[in-house]
Amino acid sequence: MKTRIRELRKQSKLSQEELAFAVGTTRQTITSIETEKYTASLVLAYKIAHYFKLQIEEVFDFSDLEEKH
Amino acid sequence: MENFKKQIQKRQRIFIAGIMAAAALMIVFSRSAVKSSPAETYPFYLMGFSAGFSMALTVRYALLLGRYRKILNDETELKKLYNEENDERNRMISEKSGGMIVKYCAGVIVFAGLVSSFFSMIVMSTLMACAFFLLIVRKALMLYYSRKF
Repeated sequence: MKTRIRELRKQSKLSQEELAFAVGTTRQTITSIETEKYTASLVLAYKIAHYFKLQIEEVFDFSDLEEKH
Repeated sequence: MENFKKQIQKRQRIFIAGIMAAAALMIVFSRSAVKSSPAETYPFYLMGFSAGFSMALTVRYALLLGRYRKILNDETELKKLYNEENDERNRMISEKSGGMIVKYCAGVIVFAGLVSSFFSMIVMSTLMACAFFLLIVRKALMLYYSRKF
């Protein structure tokens, strides 16, 4: 799933490690989400979106799912 | 985080018990190794292997104990460990690779192997090979899923 995490991180001048620490996950998980290898759970997606003070759909791109339905 | 701290303290107590048990086993096996000779019932090298294995266990538990002691004094490190252990991706990879059941099975098989070293070399080496194979398969699967996800 495409996300804006990398872009938002760069804007906030935040490292993967710092974001991971803030949302309660590991740097490897953030890397996997950014490289679209792993899809975050609803809870983690909420935590990441909440951290950037955005809605989940503003951070995660659900257009692929919408096309399928 | 307080609950996690208590959990770590509980683990420390388990490791202390583990160190004592492994050290006791090491002494038993070392004495047997010294006493026995190739001509006797229990081969010398078998007892040496078991003593070495027990020593490795003692060292491992001691290192883990030291690591936890250090982590308990540092809140940042404690949170990092909590994040690492409760990370959803890590959990998924662990579950896909067999989860804790493989670890427990391998542990029980190794223990059975150490006990059987008193009776039969063939049984002992078969059990050790079995446990080794289980752990190798688990590690290989973990590596595969870590690259995949």
